[in-house]
Amino acid sequence: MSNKKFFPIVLTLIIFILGCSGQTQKTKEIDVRVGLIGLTMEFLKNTPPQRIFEGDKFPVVIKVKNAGAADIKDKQGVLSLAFEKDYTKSVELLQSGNVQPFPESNIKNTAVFDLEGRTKINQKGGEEVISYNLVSGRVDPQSEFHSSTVIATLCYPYETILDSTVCIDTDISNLRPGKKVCKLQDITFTNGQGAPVAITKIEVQMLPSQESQQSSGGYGKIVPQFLIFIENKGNGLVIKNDAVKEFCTQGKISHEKFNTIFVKAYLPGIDEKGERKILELDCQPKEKKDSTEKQGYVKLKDKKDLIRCTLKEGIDGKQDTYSSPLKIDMTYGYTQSISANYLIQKTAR
Amino acid sequence: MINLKKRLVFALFLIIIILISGCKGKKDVKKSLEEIRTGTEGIVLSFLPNAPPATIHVEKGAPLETNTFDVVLEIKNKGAYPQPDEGVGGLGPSFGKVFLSGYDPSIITLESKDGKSGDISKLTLEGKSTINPNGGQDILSFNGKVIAENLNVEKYEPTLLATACYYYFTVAGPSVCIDPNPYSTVKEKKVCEVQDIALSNQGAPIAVTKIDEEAFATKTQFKITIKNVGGGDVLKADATLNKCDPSGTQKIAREDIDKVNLIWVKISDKALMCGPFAEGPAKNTGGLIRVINGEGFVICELPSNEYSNKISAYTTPLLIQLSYGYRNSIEKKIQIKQEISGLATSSSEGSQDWGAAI
Repeated sequence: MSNKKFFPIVLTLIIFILGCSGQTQKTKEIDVRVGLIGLTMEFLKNTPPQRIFEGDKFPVVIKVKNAGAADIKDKQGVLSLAFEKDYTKSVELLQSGNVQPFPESNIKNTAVFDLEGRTKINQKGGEEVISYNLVSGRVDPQSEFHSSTVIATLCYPYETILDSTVCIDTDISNLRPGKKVCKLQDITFTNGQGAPVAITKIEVQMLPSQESQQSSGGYGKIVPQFLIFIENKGNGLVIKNDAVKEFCTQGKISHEKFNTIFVKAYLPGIDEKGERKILELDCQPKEKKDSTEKQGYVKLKDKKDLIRCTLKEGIDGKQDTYSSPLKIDMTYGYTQSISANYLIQKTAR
Repeated sequence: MINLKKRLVFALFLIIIILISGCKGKKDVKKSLEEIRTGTEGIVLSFLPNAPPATIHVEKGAPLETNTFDVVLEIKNKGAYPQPDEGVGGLGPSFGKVFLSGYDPSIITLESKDGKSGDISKLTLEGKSTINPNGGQDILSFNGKVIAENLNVEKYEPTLLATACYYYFTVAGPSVCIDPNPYSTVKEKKVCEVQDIALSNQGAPIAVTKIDEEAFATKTQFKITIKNVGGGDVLKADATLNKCDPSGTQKIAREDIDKVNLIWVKISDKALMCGPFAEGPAKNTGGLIRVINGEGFVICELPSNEYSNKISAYTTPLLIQLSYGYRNSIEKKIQIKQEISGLATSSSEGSQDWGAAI
């Protein structure tokens, strides 16, 4: 009897207790600018087939995925298929929405495409399947079969963008007593920025500007300087961004076009007119991009190099130490290849 | 019958509980001035919850009034200065100011909402008193605007530093023993003995912590030790407002910090000669005491002719008044996130566009 009385009370208590241990789930912050990969590609299973016969039409299908954070737009992505011409009668690209044949009509083995990078909405990045139909040629009269190789080469322009908060320490020698909101220190980046070329470290330095020292009450201006360490962390090669199509269609480019990355960096500040705006840093060394503009660049050696960027306008030394957003934008071309083997077998004649 | 007994026991138990709780004596709400002059803090700042918010979302191209946020500071006077009789609502005309810094002024602008520009002199910040044992408290609001056009990154994480710079006073009045015959050979009963006194704190960030007393034939000497107990920086009073401004033309230098002004040390309304001082004459009735590693001292002397007419030892209050500027700060990390309107990522058009697209 008493058990029956207590049962509903116990049950209610249990429900209350369970109800109280509520879990709050925090929305996970998505950072798409992470990772050391740009585009990836792979042959679809059984394409090309392991064994084909003379004169057979066979598919070569390549899946291209944009695992990085930059978009490939305006048909700037190029996929070129290389094969043994003597053992391949013809090649045909199957067009689809985003995949088009190379504009020059005589190049049939090359496709151009667009591919969206990873975004907060599309966290996996865009994917494209590029299909070719090849017709195999004849095997040598003395041979029963021939082992052939198909090589897919991907060439694309890419961009690495780094957003970081840096400390602008206007009291370089630590002479002003008091609390500083931030400390001048090197910043390291181990996870990449969602691109094959990554910024691995930024050394932040504040240089006193000698010229303005006397003119503004002894405080003068502080010139922020950033040593930006850059590394090719991917498996491919870095090429100049204007050599992307050339590399994938002609196969040979001059050595100056290898390993060149253009760098731009920005920091908010006051321009010569006294207006507060985003200022482009002066990055050295510079290369003449066209007749007027010169742009900072790095030439990778052993896949790495560094560039020095300074805010020439300087920061007013009277201001207290503060943190400021630094943006670095690197543009380059990138190329990588994969290959697959297949066997052409002689047919009975 | 059993039920009735149970009810009786329960009622009795209830009565006992009521009686016990009723017996708890009420403490006198009014506190004495000695009790009021306790604590190690002066002006204390704190950010109100969600002001500023931890994350601020801004949109480029949106009207400036949409990319705004509030910064609200709760300011409490946890010290004992000023007392109701010490000036305006206790406060002087330039009691102190609150400054906000740590952010990039090209991206964030912060303006005082009520036109006070961070001035805390007009706020109800009277010190703890017998009438108001908790001290005054008020709020100061700032309107923050994010200039999204100058935000060159998707996420900017500045640390907002709120700094209060204010004038403050420390008043201490311990009883000391004055012995006109310290070397007397005749054994006589004295009401007090010359000895060192340890003090705790006086409801101010600078505290008188120790008085070492020494009686000589010609004088009685007091070594007064002061300590910075408030966790902030003690400043020369005249540097407080002029040099605290993070964007001001003058900056606080080494020579402006760790100096406390001794207004006077008095016994029976007679100001004692003290020294050494960091600036000006080495000996005077007042001057600047240097604080090293948070601690400083001054030695004051009462000449024996001031008490030679007294026959035996007596106790008297030693009144010490110190003035100084004080600076303390709090910080809060905020995150400004730039939202990209629309679903598609923006394409780059010129160097000022930050889209990831090529």
